[in-house]
Amino acid sequence: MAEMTEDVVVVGGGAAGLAAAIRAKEAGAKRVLVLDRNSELGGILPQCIHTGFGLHHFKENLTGPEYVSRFVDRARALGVEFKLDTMALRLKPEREIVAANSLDGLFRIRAKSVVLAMGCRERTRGALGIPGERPAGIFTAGTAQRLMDVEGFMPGRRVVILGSGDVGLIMARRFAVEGAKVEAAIEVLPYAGGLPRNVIQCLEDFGIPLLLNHTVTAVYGAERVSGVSVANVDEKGSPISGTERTIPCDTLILSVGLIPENELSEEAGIILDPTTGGPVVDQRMETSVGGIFACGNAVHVHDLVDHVTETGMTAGWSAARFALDELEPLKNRIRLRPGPGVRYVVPQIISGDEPVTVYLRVRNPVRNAVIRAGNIAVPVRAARPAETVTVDFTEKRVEELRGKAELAISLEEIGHID
Amino acid sequence: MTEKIERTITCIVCPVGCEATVTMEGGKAVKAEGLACSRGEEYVFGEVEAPMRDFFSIVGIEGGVAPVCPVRSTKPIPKDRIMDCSRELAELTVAAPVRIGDIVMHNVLGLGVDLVATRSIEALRDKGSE
Amino acid sequence: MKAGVVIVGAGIVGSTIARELSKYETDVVVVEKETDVAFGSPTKANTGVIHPGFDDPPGTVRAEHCSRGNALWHNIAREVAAPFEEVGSLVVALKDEEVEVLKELKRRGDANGVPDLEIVVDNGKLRRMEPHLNTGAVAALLAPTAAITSPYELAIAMMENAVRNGVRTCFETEVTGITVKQDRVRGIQTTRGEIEVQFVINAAGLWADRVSAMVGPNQFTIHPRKGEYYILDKKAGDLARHVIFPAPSPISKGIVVTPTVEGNTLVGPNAQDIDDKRDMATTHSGLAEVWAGACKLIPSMADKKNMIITNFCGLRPEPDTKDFIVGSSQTIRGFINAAGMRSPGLTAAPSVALKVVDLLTESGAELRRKSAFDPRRKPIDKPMRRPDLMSAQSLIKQDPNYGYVVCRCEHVTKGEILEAIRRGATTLDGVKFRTRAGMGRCQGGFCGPHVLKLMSEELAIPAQSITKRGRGSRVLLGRAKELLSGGDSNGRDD
Repeated sequence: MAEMTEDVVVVGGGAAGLAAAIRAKEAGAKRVLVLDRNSELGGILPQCIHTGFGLHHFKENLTGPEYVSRFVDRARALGVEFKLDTMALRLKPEREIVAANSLDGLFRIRAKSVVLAMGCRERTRGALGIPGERPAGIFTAGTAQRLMDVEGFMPGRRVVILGSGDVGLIMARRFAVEGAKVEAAIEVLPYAGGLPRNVIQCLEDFGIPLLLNHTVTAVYGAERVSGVSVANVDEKGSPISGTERTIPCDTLILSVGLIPENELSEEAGIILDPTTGGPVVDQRMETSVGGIFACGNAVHVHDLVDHVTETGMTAGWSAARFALDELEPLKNRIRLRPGPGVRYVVPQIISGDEPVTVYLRVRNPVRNAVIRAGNIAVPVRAARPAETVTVDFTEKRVEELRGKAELAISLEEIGHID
Repeated sequence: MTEKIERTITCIVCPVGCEATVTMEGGKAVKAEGLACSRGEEYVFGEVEAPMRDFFSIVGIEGGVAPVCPVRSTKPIPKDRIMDCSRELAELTVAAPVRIGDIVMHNVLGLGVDLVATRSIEALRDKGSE
Repeated sequence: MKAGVVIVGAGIVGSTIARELSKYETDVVVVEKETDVAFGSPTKANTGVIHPGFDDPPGTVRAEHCSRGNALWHNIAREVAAPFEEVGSLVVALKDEEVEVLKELKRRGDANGVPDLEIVVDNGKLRRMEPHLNTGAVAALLAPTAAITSPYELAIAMMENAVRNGVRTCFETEVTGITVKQDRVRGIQTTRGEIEVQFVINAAGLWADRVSAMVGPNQFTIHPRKGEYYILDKKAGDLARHVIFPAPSPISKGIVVTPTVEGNTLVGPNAQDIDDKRDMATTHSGLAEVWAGACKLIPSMADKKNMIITNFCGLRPEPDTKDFIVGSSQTIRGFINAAGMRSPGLTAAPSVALKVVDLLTESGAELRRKSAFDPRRKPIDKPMRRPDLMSAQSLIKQDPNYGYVVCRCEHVTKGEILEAIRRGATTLDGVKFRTRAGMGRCQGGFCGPHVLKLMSEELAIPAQSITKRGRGSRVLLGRAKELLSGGDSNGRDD
């Protein structure tokens, strides 16, 4: 079987992987190889044809394909190697990968360092356990997006969206703009899952009702979806009997959660954070296995691609330094843990001897809150679960962490957003 | 006629999402209440007077390695013209190759805005196969 | 069209009878109203257990065929290269009173010729056999000859072998009538035309009573009994190593926890009598009942709810006679029933098939054995799932499509998908049943669009015409832009 050696192998050629590959080259790695299972680079971005990408990174308002093409061009210009239509099948902690494609068949790569950038997958109807029949016409939002905006099909004509996260909202708009009838977006919580901008521009703009405190209780249709049953839910999210009604439709779009892809990580024995679903990483995006780094949605689900790019750059730089034998171990390891009000924190480990930006997600929407970490207090005007909150541990703030082994980051709210 | 109307608009400029009550006189926004800062005023005034949106969709491709190409408007268009724009675009098929940035539709709906391709689609090498 | 024998139904019973009859020089045609083999509910959605044969009271038709069928499957499954694993089963008594039930089952098993049955009372031994079993288990009946299979893969394998040996299949062909003259079968009418034939085997599952009524007043009725299931991710681990049953109830063997041949865990089915043979909906209460039943046997299941990949339901064809109906019509020559074959129908199938051959001969069919019957089927090669992955390299060299992985979760390659299409898959589910593409944790989210494209190219049909499982179950409702020339939409002109 063919064997290759590389300095840095990046698994996944989406936003995170491309940023990592570019930065690894810039940081001095000679042989950088990106593997991707699709026939083109960009990951999920080529199908995200809406604007809103790059506001931070490029100070421009770009569509997904436009954003990622800049990285593809730069990676090519730097001499990054690519293998497309290639599936990484195995990962060993010794940084050995087994992959397959039609051209090379099965092959083994020994890498000096590895960057995991596999992105995430969508939660399915099966995992949700929605009862009912199993007709054609049930799609997760990302799959519908691919079918429409890459393959040029209409997955449906009369649509109900379950889940008001950003991907679902965006697909509601896409269906509407392409002439389909979107009957409603159904949300189990008392507030929308996605950004307010998307609620306005994807639902309100098109007269699509948002049914908060509702869920889909059954799917009907012997062959193709004929309708869904929706019901009110109580504070625990359980359907209230007697409130069911049927919405006729031919398509159910599910936008009910994204799950970081970490099959390879688990195989290599990398420690995962059960809350994020991704590897525990330090501020250099190194996982619990030396020389294996992770970035992007494989680590935790981001809301801004600009942040994905940043994590990719960090991982790529670190992977290159590791490959060149120039990555010093962290002098200290302070484990950050989510305290009250905070769902998770990434990176989970910081050294405390240099400034670092930490991302966190709050449990509930809040207004006028304070983030507390030890003696540090950072005011936050407003925060929602849908938007990651960045906390800059500046030089001064970081000094206060000296000597700690663990630090809880919590959110103390003073006001409330409804 | 200076009829006064009040409309409620959620500001989306920052995560706070202030709910503003905007007073309009004769179709023009004159006052906004409920905003925590000044940045929101420009946005909410614009939203009530002449809401604009980026337009993006897909256009059919002929003779390309992909059947559709994503497109976007070079500037925002009036919100109430979105569906018209989409219907205009549905009448069009573009021949491959298409380069990112190519103008697919010039001065769409006479709005002074172009629709450009946001990715490149190569032409099928073997034309006979499609 | 003319045939020597028509088999109505391409489920596990129909496919098994077809394969048996393909050993003889007679023209066999299988008619099936669904679009593919195993698309009917009883075969598609059942526990996939090949039962040892202790459940059935001695003297019943079920008992007659179950343990014989079990023994036959050992060879046949290997011949047709279908999944078959003899994992053994445990019927678990969670209460002292249930031990009597185990003893009764053992008595039945002994009478039915089931080998090696043993009632295990040693708790330590039970714990070693099943580390996750409820520690309150008092005793268990161990049956080493219980096996697991994939019911639809088995049916597909049997039918492929039958077709290879000359059987013809007609899908989306529903029997609408049977012509009888002078008290014998002369032909059948279907939605696609008539077949001149003198021997009809009724293996129509849920609809067997409707078919049988076509030759005279009904001797039996079939009513559906729904059973719901959950499948857990392979990552849930070895929750069960044997097929684990609770002590049975009068109407059902109970909610089972079993490994599958793929390494998933399958739990179910409950048992709910319903009226509508088309009611294939899982229910909130049914699923809850299944989960509760599973947790009773395997308490650690309770915190594996996030490992559920999907749920589904199947309908058992319950005969009002309370036993299999295997026999020739008493009034009309040439009409043979293989009906009411709910559990252990799958197990019994090969034994019933042999009986059907006898019944045909008794009815006057001339069955001469073929000299050129090939019992073997070559399975679809699944290169990325070989224990020795590297051995796939030579296959990929021969056909590079086997190096291109399409289904990420189950590691299914383009080569397998094309192979499945060439071997008869015309629907997404047909590809899924033959390759497992779409059965993993992302449930086809990634591979679905790719499979559609491959099918469209390979079958030279527009992707919009591809269905999930035939007829109206189209996956796509047109091409983009088609809706914009008119019709209902959300367009606002304010």
